[in-house]
Parts: sequence; structure tokens; C-alpha cells
Amino acid sequence: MSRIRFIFSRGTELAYLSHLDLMRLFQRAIRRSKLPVAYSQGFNPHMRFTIALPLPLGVTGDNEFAEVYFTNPLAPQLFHDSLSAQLTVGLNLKKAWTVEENLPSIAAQIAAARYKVKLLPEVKTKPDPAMLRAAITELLATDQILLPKTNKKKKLIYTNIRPFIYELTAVSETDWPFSLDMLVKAGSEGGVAPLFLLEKLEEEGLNPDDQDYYWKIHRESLYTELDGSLKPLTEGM
Amino acid sequence: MSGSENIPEFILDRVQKPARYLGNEWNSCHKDHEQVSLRMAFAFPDLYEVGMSNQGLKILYHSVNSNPELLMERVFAPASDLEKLLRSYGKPLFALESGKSLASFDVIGFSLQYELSYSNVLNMLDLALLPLYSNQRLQTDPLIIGGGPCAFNPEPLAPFFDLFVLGEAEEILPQLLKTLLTLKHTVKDRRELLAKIAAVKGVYIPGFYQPLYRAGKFQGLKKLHPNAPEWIEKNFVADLDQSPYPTAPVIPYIQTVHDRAVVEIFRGCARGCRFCQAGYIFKPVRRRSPEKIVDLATKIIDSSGYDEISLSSLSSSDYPRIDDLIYTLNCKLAGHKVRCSLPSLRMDSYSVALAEELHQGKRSTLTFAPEAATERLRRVIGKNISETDIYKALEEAVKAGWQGFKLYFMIGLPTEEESDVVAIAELCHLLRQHFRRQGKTNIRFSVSVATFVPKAHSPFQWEPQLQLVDVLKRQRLLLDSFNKMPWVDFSWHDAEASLLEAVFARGDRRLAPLIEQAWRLGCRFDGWSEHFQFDLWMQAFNDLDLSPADYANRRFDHDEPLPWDHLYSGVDKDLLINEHNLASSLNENRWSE
Repeated sequence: MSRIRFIFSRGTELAYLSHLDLMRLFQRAIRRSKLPVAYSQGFNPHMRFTIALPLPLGVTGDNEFAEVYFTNPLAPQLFHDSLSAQLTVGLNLKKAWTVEENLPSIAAQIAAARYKVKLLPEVKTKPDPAMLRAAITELLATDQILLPKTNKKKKLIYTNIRPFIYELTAVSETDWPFSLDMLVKAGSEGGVAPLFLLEKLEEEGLNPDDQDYYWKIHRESLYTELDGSLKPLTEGM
Repeated sequence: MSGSENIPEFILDRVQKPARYLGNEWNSCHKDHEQVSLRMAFAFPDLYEVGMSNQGLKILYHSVNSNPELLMERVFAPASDLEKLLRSYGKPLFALESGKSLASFDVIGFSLQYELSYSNVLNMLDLALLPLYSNQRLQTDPLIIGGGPCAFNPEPLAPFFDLFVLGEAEEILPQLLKTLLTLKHTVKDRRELLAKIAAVKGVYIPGFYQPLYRAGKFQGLKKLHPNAPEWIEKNFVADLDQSPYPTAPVIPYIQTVHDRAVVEIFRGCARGCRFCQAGYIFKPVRRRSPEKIVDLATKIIDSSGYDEISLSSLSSSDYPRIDDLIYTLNCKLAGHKVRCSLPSLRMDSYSVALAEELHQGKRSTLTFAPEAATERLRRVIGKNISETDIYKALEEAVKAGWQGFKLYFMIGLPTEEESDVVAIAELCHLLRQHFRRQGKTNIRFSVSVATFVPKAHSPFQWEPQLQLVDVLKRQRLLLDSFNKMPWVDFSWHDAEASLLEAVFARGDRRLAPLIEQAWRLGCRFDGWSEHFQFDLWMQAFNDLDLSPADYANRRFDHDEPLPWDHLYSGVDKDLLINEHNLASSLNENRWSE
């Protein structure tokens, strides 16, 4: 048994795939590559392939992590080349490396994610910089932002996601279209989708004319928690 | 690279399942429009996930695109959210691969798989910004052609199309396109162009014929052009082993209805059930050799990464020594984690043994189509399985570990009485009791009931469809019975939709304005119960002073001219009449017994 982790990027060409679509795409590509991929035991064996954190539909990403198990030891370079040959434009395999089998799963290591968000210029009247500043200040000043979600018993429950916002800043308030930078909690312990925060900002006065805003969301990097602080996940981790 | 030349990101942002419209799937074919001589768009008038499950699309995509001078791209009916956005932004419907507007293609070919997609055909023409009627289009507009099972009676759509191609098109279509290619530059006049291809086998040019009616009844066709043949003979592939078959199919991103590798093991069906159009229009039976099947299966698995391969045909357990074939395939694909599946199992113990071989440990539900619950009615419709076959098959299956069975039935079949319908529920009840006595208390059924639709070119083409009120009454009968059987999951086809299907299946050209009217009133995706608007269709019938009963519920005479008589399926009308008479006599036997 061997275990390989890799970093991939997803461009605009494949941004409109759901997480499940992307899982299927990778699994079929791995099968086509004929590498000795491992399957779980049982009546309904599934490929031992995991994506660290689902990329929401429409979101692009630069440093996405995934891992896959093989029945035999495999050189990361061979893996990289064989899988790359089975991917089309829109998915780019950046780095691959072997990790110890006793490491926790890649999904369990995710603690936060950093997003860059742009407002697409398909808007008639643009919000002014003061509005953006005010909306951010306003949102960060509240100590409760409730995220509604139906639980497994189909009951509506609310989570306060204010503590999940680690950073929220305007990268450019003067340039049109403006962009935002946010670092938010993510992973198996809970998190918040960037689109939800953007809707909250719109409610806080960023969209006074109630226009249709088109946000372009890009995930820049994933973070893990090391010795009590957040560190970007990088190659080799 | 993504089909975004015409579709801006902010439109993709606003639609459900945007991955339907990307067009850059694995194995999709992207050619430079300037480097080819003829461009065709394959138009499937239903959603992507339905169209991408159609094997005909994959075969034609392969057979056309393997010619360097030809290009074929795909387009599907846009879902209503995309339709709204395209209309509000004034964007034309586009082909997926290049994103180019449909109107920029030389040929648009519609796949006519079922009658309830007709309103979508018009909607797609309109979204392509093309006039609906053939005689309103310009010479510079694309040639609109149609094919598929409904081309065997395309009369309701005739005025919208320039030509239809009858029968299996994988060999004739590239030839036809090449002929068009040579004519394209020399013959500018549309009618002259059509005249030059009128003699190509299987080509039907509706504009060269005019229907005659007397006292509201169809009397036959008048030829309007000397080149138009008296009757049109269908195309069929003589040797499946030599015919083009895709070994690198396009792999969808989203889950489609049939999301797996498919090898067609034979075409046609030797059974000849009298209600089944496919059994007649796909004659004769032609088999692919086991060697070729294994070769194709291996190549498709290699190029696709699929983990399931379906050995498809109209009745797959009828393939000679299918057990040997499955064994060979399993050996060949061992280690690839590939499952084999058979889509259409006969209801007998041999098929159950096959299913056991295929499922290897996994026991889902087993599907059978007895079609009718009484032996008398099964004899009438030509579905020759006995009560004993049914019990034996289920007995074997239960012994092997299956507990769930999906059973397909039809109601409204010729000679059917209410007792035949009640028998469906009784059969389930008796089977359940039978197994209960053996201590098997968990046997469950999923029963799906369709309404009989008389189809052109089948022996039952003269039969009336059961009146709508009676269909509803019989559905109610079943619902009442099954309500007392919580271990049966009962579902049925929309009776109104089946009525419309029957209207078009035996329709003539007077229905074209009706389709247009219904489409203008807002009808789309009529095959989808959540979109089907029967009241709008009824309004359209009223507006045009037409009656659905004249088409669906009338018994046609053996000697009256039929709107599809000039389209030859390969089976003589006399033979169909004989089969039809035989069915009636079998029914009479019951009384003389």
C-alpha cells in the first residue's frame, strides 16, 4: 500500500462542476491511467480517493489538495505524469508526493480556506468604496451571524458563523470591479461558504439598489492548524 | 474551450447544472470550423442527461467525426432557466463544442426518439432564430433533417423539416453529408438541391409530397416532384461487425440517465411482440460477433474509465451463448473493477442464472416486463411467457437471494377487460403469498404501468387507444388494489401524456399547426410530468378545431390509406395485417374454449 497526495488547480473551464462531478472525473481519469489504485473492501468497493475540501460549484481554485491510495509503491513523478495525461484543460496537476500511511486523512487536516472574490462588471450602478468599507465594518461589528441549515432530522438549526470569519478585507475599493479577501473556517468541524458572507454584505448595504450581483469566487489556499495557529497547506504536508 | 463564446459566465452562474452546457467533456471532438467543409449539429430535443444516454447520438457523432472534412457538434434542449436567460439576453442557441450559434451550421439533425419531444424541436429551432417552417427558411439557412424511430411516421413534423433519413443512419449519414458537400457550392437553390438527393436510399423529402384528404380523412399522398420516389426504403446496417461504433465515447460530467459504457450486442428483435414498434422497424436481427464485442468493450473501458459496461439490445438474454460471452468478458476485464449489466432480461430461469452471474454478491432489484398479467392477454399481444415461466423465474431469483422485483405492465391493450387489469394486482398478491408459504416474507414489488399506444408499423397500428376516462378508471382500479399492498411500490404513466403520444404516433400533417400552437402557448418538455401541460394542449386542439380522439381512439381500417404507408420499414403491410388478425383470432379462441 502507498499513499500519494497532490495539489491541483481548477480553472474557469471546469468551474461549473459540482463536487460529485469532480470526484467522478478524477476517479475515471485515475482508472484510465491504469495506475494500481486501491479499493475499499466489501460488496460495494469504492476507490480510495479523497478531495480535501469540496470546491463549490462555480468556484475556481489554485491550491486544492487530494490524496489517493495505491496497492503498490508508486513514484510520485510517474503518478503525476500518468494522471496529467488523462486530464483536459481546466484541471492542472501541480505537485505530487508520497505521505506516510499513518497520517490523518487530508480532509481531517483542513481548518480554514482563503478566498479572493471579485464583483463581475455586469452591474449597472457600482457601489462606491465607502459603501464597501461600511458594509465590512458593519458585518464584523455584529457578534452573531446566523447560518440556517437543515440537520439530518430535517429540522432547521442555526449556527453562529461570526467566529468563523478570521479575516475580511477589501483588497481594492477604488478599482472597478473591486475585490475582497477572506479567510474563513472550513473543514469537517464546520465552516462557512463565501457566497453566504457576500449575501450578508449585500444585506449590510453593499447592494442598496438590490441588483443582481455576479461574484467570481476563487479559492487561493487551504489552511491547517499547527501548534494552535493557522498555516497554509503546502507541498509535502 | 468551454462553450462560452456565446454563453457568458454570469449566465452559467444562474442556471441549474451548468455542466450540461460546457461541451468540453473527455473525448468530445473539437474541430476548427474553417478547416472542415461541412458542419452538422446533432440536436437532441430533450435535456443533456437524457440525450447523452442515447446510443444513437454516440454512434453518429463517431461516424461523422471520423471523416476529416466533416464536423458534428452536439446541442440539447436547454432547460427552462437557460431558455429564459437566452431569450432575455437575445442570445441564440449554441452548439456545445464550439459555442457557435446553431444557425451557422450547414445541417441541423434532430434525433426523434419519442413523440413527446416535438414541442422541444420547435423551441430549439426558434431559439436558433430560424423560421419554423421549411418553406419560410432561406437557402443560406441550415438544412433541417430528422431521424430516429419517429421518422417512421414524421408526418406531424413534416412541414418543419427539409428531409428525414429513414432507418439506421451510421453508414448513410456521412455519405449523404459528403454528397451535400459537393452540391453545396454548385447548387444554390434549396429545392434543386433536395431534388438531387431525393433518390438517396432512406431520404424522405416531405416537401415533394402533398397529402390529400376527403371528408376529413387522409386519402394518400400526391407526388409534387418527378424525382420523389413512390415509397422510401429504410437504411439498415448489413454487418454490425463492419459498422462504425464509438470506442471513445464522450464522458459526461454530470450523471446521466445511463451513465456507463455500452456495447450493442445485437440489433433488432426476433420476438415480434405486436405492440412493439422497435421490434418491427429494427428488423432484421443482426448480431455482433463475440470477438468484436469483447474487443469493443475493452477499448471503451480503456478510453472512458467507466466501471460498468452494459451489453445492450432489445432483448439481451436472446443473444446466443450470452453466458459464454459474459464469462469471457469478466475474465478479460478482471482486475479492472468493471461490472457487466444486461438491460433487458427475458422472464425465465435462464435469465435469472445470468443475472446471478452478473451481480456477483450484490443483490439489487431484478427487472422483468411481463406486460400483461393474464396468459390470454399475453398471447394476444405476442408476449409469449407462461404463468409457469413467471413463477419459475421468480422462484430461482428468490432462491439466489433477490427480494425486490421491478415489473413492467401495460394497460389499455387490445381486447383487455377490467379483469385483466385487476389480474396485475392479483398476480403480485399470489406471488407474495406463494413466497410467504416458503417462509420468505420480505418479497417486494415495484410495479410500473404504462398505457398502450398504437404505433405505426406495428401489427397493432390499427387499434384504438383506450378512451382517456377508461384509462383513468383502470389506473384507479390498480391504485385501489395496491393501496392494500404496502409491499408494492406502484407507479403509472400519465394517461394524458399517453393520449398525446398516440395522437402523434398515428398523426398526419394537419397536426403541424397544432404543435406550433401548443408551443406558442408555452408547451415544452411534454415527456416530463412536472412540465406537461395537458390543458394547453387541449386549448391548442380547440383553437385549431382538431380532436385528439380522431387520431388516438379511432380504429383504423385495414384498407384505409395510412399517413406513413409510403415509408417502408422492411415489413410488408400484409404481414402486419396477418399478425393483427392472428391476435384477434387468439382472443376469439378464448371464447370457443
